[in-house]
Amino acid sequence: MTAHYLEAARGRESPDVAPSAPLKVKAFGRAFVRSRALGWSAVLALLVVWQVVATVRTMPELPPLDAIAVEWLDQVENGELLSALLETLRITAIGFVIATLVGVALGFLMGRVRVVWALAEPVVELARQIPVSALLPLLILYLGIEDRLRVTVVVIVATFPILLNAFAGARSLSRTMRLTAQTFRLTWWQTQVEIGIPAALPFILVGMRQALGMTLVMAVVTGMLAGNSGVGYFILQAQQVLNVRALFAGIFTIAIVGYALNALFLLLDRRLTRWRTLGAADD
Amino acid sequence: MTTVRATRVGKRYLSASRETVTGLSPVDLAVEDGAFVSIVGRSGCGKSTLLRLIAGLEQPSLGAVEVDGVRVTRPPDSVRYVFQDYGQSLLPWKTVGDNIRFGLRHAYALTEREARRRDWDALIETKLREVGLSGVAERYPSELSGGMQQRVAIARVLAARPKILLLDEPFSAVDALSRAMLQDLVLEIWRSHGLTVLFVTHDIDEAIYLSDRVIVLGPHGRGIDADAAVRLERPRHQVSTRSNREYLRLRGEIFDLVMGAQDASRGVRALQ
Ligand SMILES: Nc1ncnc2c1ncn2[C@@H]1O[C@H](COP(=O)(O)OP(=O)(O)OP(=O)(O)O)[C@@H](O)[C@H]1O
Ligand SMILES: [Mg+2]
Repeated sequence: MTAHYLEAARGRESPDVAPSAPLKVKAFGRAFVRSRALGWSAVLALLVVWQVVATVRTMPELPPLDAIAVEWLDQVENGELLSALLETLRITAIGFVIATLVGVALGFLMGRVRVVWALAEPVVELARQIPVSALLPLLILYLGIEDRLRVTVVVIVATFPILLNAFAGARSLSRTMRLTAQTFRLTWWQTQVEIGIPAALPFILVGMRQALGMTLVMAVVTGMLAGNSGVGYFILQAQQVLNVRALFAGIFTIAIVGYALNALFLLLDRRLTRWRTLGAADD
Repeated sequence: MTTVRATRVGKRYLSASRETVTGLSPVDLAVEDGAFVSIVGRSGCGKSTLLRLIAGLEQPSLGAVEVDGVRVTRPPDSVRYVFQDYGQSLLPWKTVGDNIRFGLRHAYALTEREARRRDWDALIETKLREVGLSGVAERYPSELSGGMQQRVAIARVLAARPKILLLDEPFSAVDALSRAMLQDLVLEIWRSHGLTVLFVTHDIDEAIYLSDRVIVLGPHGRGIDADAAVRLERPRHQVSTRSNREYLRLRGEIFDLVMGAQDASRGVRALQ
């Protein structure tokens, strides 16, 4: 039904007559500069330049891409990079889940229950100002340098964007929607579950997406901290033995994994908030 | 029998700048069971406020509202409200069908058989057909036109089986043609369900066309300026009713009254 509707909308825009060859080229060009293919081509061009430069002038600090690829495969095969990555992803996942639970629960309740807001607002606003790096010495003192520290740091960083967006989402509930819940005699609990949370969901997802990127970064950084584990530690080690190829292998791995996580999240986002995009399908 | 009774009911608001704003000066109102009553008046005169007080969506500062002899302190079971901005009232993340299901789940009186047989798909289709829609259950509200969305909102309210329907400028955001069709739809629903309807509108023509009674609220929360009986035969007809002499007479008088061309007290006398 829906698919059909979208097809029809698209069909209306296409011209009735088959375009001539130069027109086709022009249309392709226009579509190209408007799509992300443009950006990907730029990335590709950059990599080509890199490869050429690194092959023509051999420099230890700029290894050619094929050498990095070989190193990357080696590190994956001997398990070093893979286990480091899994370790980082484990911390990311745990931290992200906890941050989501805490951020959504507290942010949403602050938005919907005045007492919770009155109680929590000063604390949240104060705590939000403290850079996590300033807290680190204390955290290390209290929590050591293992998992507990790493998860805690990730949670501290990732909670705030989720909390602030969940709060904004809870506040976004319109008067009419509140009155709609009342005229259908929903209880307080039903109002939150059936109307409050769904209305806040698009905001919550924006917060979660912001947090997801930060979560991965913090999981890597805390891995470098006291040299314990994860991709951060892998990179640190590569630096110590001056293995530039492994350094790049680690960095690329993070970029690609981060990109993939974001893409996965967008997919989920689009599924959950499909209803929002329907009205504005034009652009 | 009187179903809605407001006794000296009034409302004061506290504005953001801590000033007292009169939402509605004390009014008395009694609505007969099964009546179709419209409320007209200038913007800001308290029409919505009066409706919200009757719906139990707000508490009066003065006086009291009774529905079927019970004082209203929270939204009564038998009353449902249709809002002007359907875009905010329909749940945009639910399909049309699920919005109706929402009405069914929070219904006043679902027969036991319907409640037990949770298979509501057929019931949802019936409700949609009742408001002149079909085959849209899978769509989202944002995929429908404004007029269709307000139809869905009405279907959802009907699914909750109210006895008293309150509509607050339901068609003001709808184009003129859809509006005429929606007016006839509301009349048909009112008749076939034996509802009591309170209908707020800016449109004097619409008020007379639909109602048994038109109530004129004076500006600045002054309260009821006039209460006019509409003695036009039913069923009404978009063309012949609107050219009826009695219709035109009422239209002129109410128009003068609302626009302030006449002294309010003279207006009341003229209409009685
Ligand atoms: N929640 C509120 N807080 C403060 N003042 C309010 C509130 N609701 C209504 N008012 C005021 O009460 C008065 C009556 O408002 P109401 O919405 O009932 O008018 P109305 O007749 O429905 O107007 P309209 O035709 O524009 O919808 C207005 O002056 C309005 O500013
Ligand atoms: Mg109003």
